[in-house]
Amino acid sequence: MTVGRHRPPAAATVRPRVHWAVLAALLLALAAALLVEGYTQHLAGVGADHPSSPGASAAVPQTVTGGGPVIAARDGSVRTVRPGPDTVALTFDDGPDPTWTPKVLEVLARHHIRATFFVVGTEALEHPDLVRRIRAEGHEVGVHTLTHANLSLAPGWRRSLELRAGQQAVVAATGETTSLFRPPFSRDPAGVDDAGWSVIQEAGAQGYLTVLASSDSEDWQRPGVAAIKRNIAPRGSAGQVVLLHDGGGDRSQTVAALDQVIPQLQHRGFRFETVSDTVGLHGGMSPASVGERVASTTLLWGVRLSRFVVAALALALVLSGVVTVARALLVVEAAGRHRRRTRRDRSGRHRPGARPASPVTEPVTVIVPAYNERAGIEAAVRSIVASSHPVEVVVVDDGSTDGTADLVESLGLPGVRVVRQANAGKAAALNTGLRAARHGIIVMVDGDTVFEPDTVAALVQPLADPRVGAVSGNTKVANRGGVLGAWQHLEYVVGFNLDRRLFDVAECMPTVPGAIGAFRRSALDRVGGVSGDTLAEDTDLTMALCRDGWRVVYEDSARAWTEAPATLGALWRQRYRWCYGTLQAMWKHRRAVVQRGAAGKLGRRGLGYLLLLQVLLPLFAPVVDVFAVYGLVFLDPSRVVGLWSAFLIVQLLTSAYALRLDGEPLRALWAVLLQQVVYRQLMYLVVIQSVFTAVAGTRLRWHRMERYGSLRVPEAPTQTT
Amino acid sequence: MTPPPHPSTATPDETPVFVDPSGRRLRRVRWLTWSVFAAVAAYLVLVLSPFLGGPSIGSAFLPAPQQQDSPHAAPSRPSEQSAPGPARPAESTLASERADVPNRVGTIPIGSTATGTPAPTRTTPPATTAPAPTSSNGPTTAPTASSTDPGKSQSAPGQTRRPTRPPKP
Repeated sequence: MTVGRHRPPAAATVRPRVHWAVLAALLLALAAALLVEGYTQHLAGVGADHPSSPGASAAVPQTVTGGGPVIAARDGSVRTVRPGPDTVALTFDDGPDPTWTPKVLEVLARHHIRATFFVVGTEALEHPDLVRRIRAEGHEVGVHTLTHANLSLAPGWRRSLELRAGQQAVVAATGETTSLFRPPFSRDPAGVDDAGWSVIQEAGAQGYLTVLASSDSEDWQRPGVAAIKRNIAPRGSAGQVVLLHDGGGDRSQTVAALDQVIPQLQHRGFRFETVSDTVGLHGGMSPASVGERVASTTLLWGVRLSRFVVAALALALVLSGVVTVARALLVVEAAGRHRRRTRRDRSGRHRPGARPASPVTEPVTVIVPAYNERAGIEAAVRSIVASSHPVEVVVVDDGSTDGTADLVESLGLPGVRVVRQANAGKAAALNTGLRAARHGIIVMVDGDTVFEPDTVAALVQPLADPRVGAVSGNTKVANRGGVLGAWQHLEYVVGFNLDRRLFDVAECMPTVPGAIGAFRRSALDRVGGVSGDTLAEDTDLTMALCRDGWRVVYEDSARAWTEAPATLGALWRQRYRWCYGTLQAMWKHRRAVVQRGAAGKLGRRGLGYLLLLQVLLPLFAPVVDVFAVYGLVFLDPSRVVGLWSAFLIVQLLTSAYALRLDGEPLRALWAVLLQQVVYRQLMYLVVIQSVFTAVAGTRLRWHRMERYGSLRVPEAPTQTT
Repeated sequence: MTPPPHPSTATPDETPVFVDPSGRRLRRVRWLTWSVFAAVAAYLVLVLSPFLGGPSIGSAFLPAPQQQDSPHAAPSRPSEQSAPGPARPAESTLASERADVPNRVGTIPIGSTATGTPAPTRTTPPATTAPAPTSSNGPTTAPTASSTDPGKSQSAPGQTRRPTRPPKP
C-alpha cells in the first residue's frame, strides 16, 4: 500500500467557498459580542470604590487643589466653583441599582429635595428605566464612565471610550446629554494628583465639568448610619458637594442615614439642590440631537444583543458539555455491556449476533470494487485469498484506467474472478459484483484494505443468527506513524470499540463500513441492492437494512487493516465525502424517525445520535473554541483551564478504555492532547462545509468518483456528473 | 445468480440526495449569505459606535466669571426672569440663588492666582436661605417639574455668554 498522491484541490468543490466567509463573519460578530460583554461585565469595577493613593501632584494647579469641587478645565483656563453657603449637593455614585436607587429616590422625594446621580454606563444600559425615573423626579444625571474604570490608570483610547460610552448610556436612557462628570475613585480637590488632573483636563477638553466631592460620606465602607450622618453633616455653613453611593453594594445604611440627616440639616437652614443649581450652572443637561440619540440607542441595543448572544451561547456551551459527558458515560457503559455479552456468548450462549454452537462454514463471496486501485489491490486480494474461511473473490473493475483489472488477472490466483464494467460508480460496481456472486453470504471490502487470515471467518459468524442481516468488522489503521496517523488510529479505535458497540447494543447500527462488512444475500435483495443515491452507499445500505427489520451487529474480532489518508488534504476530502454522504443517507432515511419497530430504533436512536454528536455538536464546536479564548482573557483563566482539562480527561479516559478493549497499547493516548488544536478544527470545518453544500444543493464533482478505498483518488480527470 | 432488483447504476439524469439542479436553493443560500454579512456588519456598527464618536457635549458652562457678570447687579437677570419667570414662580428662587453666583466663582486663567470664595457673600445667603426650609417644600417641587422640561434647559443657554446649542422651541 502506498500513500495517496496529492491532488489539486479543485476536485474538492466547484463553488466558491463563501461559507468560510460566513463562518468568519459570524465568529467575528461573536468575538465582538464577547468583547463587549467581557469589557462591560468583567472589567467593570463597581463596588471597589477605594480611592487609589495619590501620586505626585506637581502638575496640578493650586486653583484645583485649593478650589471648589466643580472644575471647568477648558480652553487653557481653569475655573473651580463651590456651592454657595448653606447649600448641599448630594451626589450618588455607581448606580443605578435596581434595589437601592429606588429607595434613595423615595427618601429624596419624601423630603422634596433634588440630587445628582453619577451613573455607571453599564448599569444605566442595564436599567435605563431607573435613569429615566431619576430624571423624571427632577434629579440630575452625570457620567461616571462606562464601567467604573479608573481613568487615571487607563490609556488614552480607554479614557475616551469610557467617557463617550458613558455619555451614550445616559443619552440612551434619557434622551439628554449631560456635561457633568465624576471620575471613579476620585477624591476631593485637594487629593487630585497628576494622573487625576490629566483626566480632568481631558474631560474638560471634551466639554465636561468635573464634579469632585468636598465631603465624603464614606458610606461605601458601611461604617454605620451614625457615622454616615456625621460625615454628611457639614461643619459650619460652607456649601458642600457630598459623595454618597446608590449602587455597588448594600446601601441600606446610606438610605437610613439620608432619611434622618436631611430633615436635621434642613432644620439647620441648609438647602439641598442638584450640583448644577448649587453652582449656578446652566445647561448641565440638554436634549441630545437626533443623531446622538440614534447612536446611543444603537449602543444600547448592541450591548443588549451582546448580552443575549453571550447568554444564549453560554447555555448552549453548558448543554454541549452535558452532551459530551453523557455520551462518554453512555458509550462506556454500552461498550462494557457489549463486551460482557460477547464474552458470555462465546462461551456458549445464544443471542443475536453471537457465535452460535454451530459455526458458519459455508463459503462466502468477497466483492472488491476497484477503481484505479493498482497500488493496493494485489495485497488486498492476496490477503483475502489467504483466508481460513472458504472464499470466492469477485474484483469489479469500474472502468479503471491504470490497469487494475489486468494486474489482478495477471496474478492468476485461484478463486478470483475479475468483472469489468464501464465506469458507473461504486454502488453500481457493488451491484455488478452481487450479480456475479455465487454464495449466500457477501463480504464487501475496499481495494486498499488488508484482511487477517481469520477475518472473514470471524466476520460471518454472527450471520448464523437468521435475524442478523449484516455484520460490521473492526477497521484498523495500518499507518499510525506521524501525528495524522496517530489521530486517525485513535479515532478508529474509539469509533469502532465504543460507538459501534453502543449501536449494536441499542440495535441502531447506522453504518457497516465499506472497508469490511458481511451481508446476507437475501437481505440485500430485499432492500434492492446497493443504492447510488448518496455518497456514503455503505451507510445508506445499512440504514436500509435496519429499516427492513434486520439486525446489524458489530464483530470486533474481524479486523481489517486500512491505509489512512496521510495528508491533511486527502483526509479532508475523505471526511468531506463521508460527512456529506452520511448527511445524505440520514436525510434519505429521515422517515425512520417516526416509524415503528426496528426502523424506529434506527431513526430515533441512530439518527438522533448522529445528528446530535456528529452534526450539531461539531457545528457548535467553533463557538466553544472562541469561548475558550474569551474565558482566558476575561474570566478566571484557571477556571477555563480547569474546565478544559476536565473535558480532556473525559476524552482521555474514554479513549483509554477503547484502546484497552481493542488490546492496543495506551501510548497512543498522547495524540489526544494534540487532537484539540488541529484535528478537532478540521473535523468540525468538514461538517460545516458538508452542511453548507447540502443546504445549497450544489453538485459535487466526485458524485461518482473518488469513493473507492480510503485514500487513493482517481488519477484521471473527473467529470462533473 | 439472482440479479438485484434494483440495478442502481446511477444515471446522470438521476438527482442525488440534496442536489438541486435548478440552483434555486443555491441562490437562496447566496441571498441568505449576504443577509448574514449585512446583519454582522450592522451589529458591529452597533457595538463599535462609541469608538466611532460619542455625543458632543459642551453646552454646559459655569456661571460667567466676575469680569463678565457684575455681582448682584446682574443686568441679564431680569431678562432671564422675564423669559421663564411668569410661567414658573419658583424661578425667582433660582434667580436669587444665581444672583450670588459670581461671588462663588473662582475664576482663574491658568497661571493667575485663585480668588477663592469671597467671604462677604456669606452675609447674603441667610436672607435667601432663611425661607428656604419652609419654601423648599413648596417651590422646589416646581423646579422638579420644570427641570424635566426641555424648554427650560434651553432657556438657560440663552442667557449665557457662550451658547453652543441654539435654543429649541
